[in-house]
Amino acid sequence: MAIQVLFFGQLTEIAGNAVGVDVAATGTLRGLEQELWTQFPLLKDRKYALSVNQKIIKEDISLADGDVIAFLPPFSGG
Amino acid sequence: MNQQEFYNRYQRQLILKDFGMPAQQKLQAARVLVVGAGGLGCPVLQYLCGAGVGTIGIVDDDVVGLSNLHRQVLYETGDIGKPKANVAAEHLSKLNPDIRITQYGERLTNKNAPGIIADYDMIVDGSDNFPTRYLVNDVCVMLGKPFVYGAIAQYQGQLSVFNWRVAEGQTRAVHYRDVFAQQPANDEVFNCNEAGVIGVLPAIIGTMMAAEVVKMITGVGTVCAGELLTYDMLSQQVHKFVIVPDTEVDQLLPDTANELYDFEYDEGCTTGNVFEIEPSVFTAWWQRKDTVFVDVRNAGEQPLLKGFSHINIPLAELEDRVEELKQHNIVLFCASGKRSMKAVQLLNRLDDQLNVYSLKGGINNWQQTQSSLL
Repeated sequence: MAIQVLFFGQLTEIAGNAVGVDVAATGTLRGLEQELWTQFPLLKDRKYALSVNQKIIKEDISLADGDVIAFLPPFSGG
Repeated sequence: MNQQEFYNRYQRQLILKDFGMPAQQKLQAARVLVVGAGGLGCPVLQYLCGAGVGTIGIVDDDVVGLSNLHRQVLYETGDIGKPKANVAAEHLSKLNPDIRITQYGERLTNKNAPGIIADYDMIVDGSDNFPTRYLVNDVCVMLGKPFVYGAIAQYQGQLSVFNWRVAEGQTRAVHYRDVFAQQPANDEVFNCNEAGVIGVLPAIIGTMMAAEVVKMITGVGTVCAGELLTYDMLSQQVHKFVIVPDTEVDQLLPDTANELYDFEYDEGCTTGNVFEIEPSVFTAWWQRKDTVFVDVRNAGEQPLLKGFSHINIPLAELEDRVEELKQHNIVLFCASGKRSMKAVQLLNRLDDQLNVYSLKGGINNWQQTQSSLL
């Protein structure tokens, strides 16, 4: 199934603004995260929140075809 | 101000549908604390002051530097080296003389924050570092104060209103830790110290923050609570992400002022060390009579500096010669800014009442800015 992943803030320097990922039908959020760590190793050491379809998600959940995931880093600047 | 002046000053918002005199009176009665008078704080302060928020507190312990002026619109070139809280208050009192402005020319800490924050209805977090952001969050949650969160990096910004109201079906209001539970470590965010920012971005996010304050006070519109708004200047794209309470982070919060007192907020990623002054401030402060400049390099190190009075106390001798430093401000410098930061830490350990500063990047950095000006 096709998942769209958006990256925000300085994470775009690692992964670009957005990538499309094709994951197995039983895919989960954490599984997708692992896959992206393999693709973009620098991502693993960064701090970020994850959202699925515009909702911040802390736990692991199953993904569905067409879901949009966002990687949101904290900003400190003022 | 007489009634006619009052009406004239606020006329353009008084005539708004759903606003009127009741909303204006709520603004006049409101007490808002703005933490940080920098890129975000400047527009927040200007618009709240203009809108007629009756009492405004300003917390900032920093001084105006040349590199601030591209985005911190309350300050002018002639203000370099002056305390931001002072300059901002002076500027704002001219903008609207009827506003009561309280200055806190100090850094918000776990010691002073509860006392300061308790005095206000709502808080605006326009700070520039994670320790202050987590501190503001935790104290606001402890004291039940809503706060407007805004933060920027490079070309993007974030906005939300935290600790506002308990949404239907939830057990408590959401706050910053529901998004980012713990402070990032230094290596978990990119370029922690010098991420860079485009000048208009804090103006956009700061103005949105001021808009939230006006809505929170007056009740017009819908407050941006329970969702994180992100803004990208390059594409003008806005996203919103729903936030729900994460009860697991509740244990991370201090429950009482005593518990807060023991919290260590400064271990995370800090930006813009307050003990460092930039070269423009260093030069501006030469005129000050209350400031002593101390070269902490060893005797004979080049280049020798001329054009301002200073003394030489090598870092190794500083502890024994601290009695020689009687002035209100002590500015330390060396070649690269490393030894002078060590000297700042040493003097702060010996006496935490001293006002000690280090020239950022040292003489090397200062000389570059001099030659680029010639």
